[in-house]
Amino acid sequence: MEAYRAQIIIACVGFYFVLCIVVGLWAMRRTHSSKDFFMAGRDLGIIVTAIAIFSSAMSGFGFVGGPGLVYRMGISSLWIIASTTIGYALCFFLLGKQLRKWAVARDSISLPDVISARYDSRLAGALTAIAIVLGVMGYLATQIAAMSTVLQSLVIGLTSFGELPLEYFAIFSTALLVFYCVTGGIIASVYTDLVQGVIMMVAAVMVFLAAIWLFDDGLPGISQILMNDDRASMSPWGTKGMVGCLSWYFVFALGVAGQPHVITKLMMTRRAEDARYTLPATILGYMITALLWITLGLAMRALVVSGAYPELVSADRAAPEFLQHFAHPILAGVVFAGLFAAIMSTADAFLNIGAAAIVHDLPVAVTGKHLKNELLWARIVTVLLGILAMLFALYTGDMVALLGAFGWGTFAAALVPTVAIGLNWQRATSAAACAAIISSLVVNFALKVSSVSIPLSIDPGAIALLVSIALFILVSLMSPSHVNQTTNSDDAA
Amino acid sequence: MIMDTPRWLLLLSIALMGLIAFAAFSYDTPRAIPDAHPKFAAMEIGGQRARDDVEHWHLGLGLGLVMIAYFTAFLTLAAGHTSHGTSLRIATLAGAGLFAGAFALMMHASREYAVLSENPTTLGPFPAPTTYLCAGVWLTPLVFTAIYCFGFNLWFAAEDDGNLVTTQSAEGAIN
Repeated sequence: MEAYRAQIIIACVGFYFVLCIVVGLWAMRRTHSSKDFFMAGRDLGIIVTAIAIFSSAMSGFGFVGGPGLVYRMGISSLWIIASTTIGYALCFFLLGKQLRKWAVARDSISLPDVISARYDSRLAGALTAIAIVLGVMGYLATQIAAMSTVLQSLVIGLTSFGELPLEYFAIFSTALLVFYCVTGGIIASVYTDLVQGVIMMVAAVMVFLAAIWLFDDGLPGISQILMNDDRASMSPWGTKGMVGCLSWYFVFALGVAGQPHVITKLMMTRRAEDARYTLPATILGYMITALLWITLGLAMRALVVSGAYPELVSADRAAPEFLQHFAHPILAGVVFAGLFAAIMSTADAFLNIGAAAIVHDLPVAVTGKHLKNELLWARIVTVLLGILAMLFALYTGDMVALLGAFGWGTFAAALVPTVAIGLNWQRATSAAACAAIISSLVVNFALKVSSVSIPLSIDPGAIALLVSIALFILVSLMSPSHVNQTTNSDDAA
Repeated sequence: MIMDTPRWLLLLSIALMGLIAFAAFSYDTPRAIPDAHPKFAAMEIGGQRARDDVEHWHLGLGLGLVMIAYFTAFLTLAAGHTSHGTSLRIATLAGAGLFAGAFALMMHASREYAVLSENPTTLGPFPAPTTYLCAGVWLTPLVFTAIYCFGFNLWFAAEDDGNLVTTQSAEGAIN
């Protein structure tokens, strides 16, 4: 079986791709309107929503970058994982019912829609849409680049193909993504998320078992090897340091409530009461998939420091090298399918919210009217967005990284105050929402462009988030009170 | 209440910014990059940053506790949507107390671990402070998930849904 390793991996990944296409075709039959396309007809059940939420948050970064961080820094990145329990609790406490209620009451089909309605401000909605489009381009281009690179490295294993150019794989990746997003919209996206989430969980558990079976004493044995090499790397702070780790914890915990690809799912549920069970299911799913992140990274670091495996060229090679040399071919196939699942579940969510921002939110913000034949335009723009992101990924180099800066931290700084506080505080004003969104874009972009070295490895997103929240509350308190007696009547209680 | 929750959040935001600024000035070498592993180029070790952290242990404790207070203030924003807001605030504060206690325990264990002269042993899968990180900082906040699930009907579903948003002025809105 070892002789056919590359073929087995390709077969597993190929089977998964076919599954995505089938789901896309099935979802096409259920997509009749732009509400279906963007909001899945507001008919998602508990398990589908929970898996869609956690699999959108756990991108390819969790499967490749995460183990790489552990290999390089030791325990530090456990703070990102640990933030999920408080993060999702915050998200559901503040938005679990609120977002859905606004969406239903105003028939909103996107986050900027809700923000426009909440603040009675087209400008606030337009700024949110712009922040989303900028973030989408960065995220999407990064995901397409990652998918193409991994596909290329897999096909190189099949000697009959030789070395094909990266462009071929980028075109294939984009075509596959766009196909099921165009045919089935968000319905295809969330149901492929379901498949993807299950594959990710299975892959994570299998890798966890494979990694601990490599060492006589399992996880304690790995810890002992690493402590003997460098005690600090196994301390709670790893090598990033105390303040840096706490800044990660802060921005990832609070930031969940500002991720449009995550919180938009809360607007799609069948019943508001489902949120009660969606929260624990989401956390459980994320915790299971995080097993891969931690154990694979620790196992590779222990294998290298103990001399059982040669030094890695780069930390990001931790996951691929482990799968290539220590995993059964079928396990490697499932995990590679899981990796594509992680990449694609994030990418499809961004394609959908990006298309919504362009087709639905910006025209409304500028003209005050919806486009005619919105569903057709949504499909056209999804194709165009996919192509544009692919071109960004292939030909703009640093620009992708620059737009990538409009990632987690920018969404957190822009949307946590605007949505999480704003939907729960009657006094919040549209001027404050605009100030928070603009400050998040300016602070994050300025920190990225100027390449400022922030002391103690503090995450720039944490600074941007604190600034935007403080600004949001200050501006709201200083603005003339625009109290709508019925918007949040219970606030007055 | 003396102040409403958003004002607490503003105060805590300023406190957090102040603590971060204080940390940046109180470390001897705040811009030091992590030390490279002596044998493996793609790996880092704790080095000087880890030694500095032991000296500034109290700062981490303070920063973490203010952060937990910040998260708690965010969670209590939800109490504005229910007529049982006081009991939700009390339950959330109790959970926050547990969370803060678990965090303080992890901080104490991490200092002990750093200054320990002999070879440390593991507690469960990891050294003691890292196990406390998993159990205390990762798992303890599940108490808020429990509050959400078990108190859902009382605190989160009891609100009069029809009273929210539906009669908001359409002026300037999307339609």
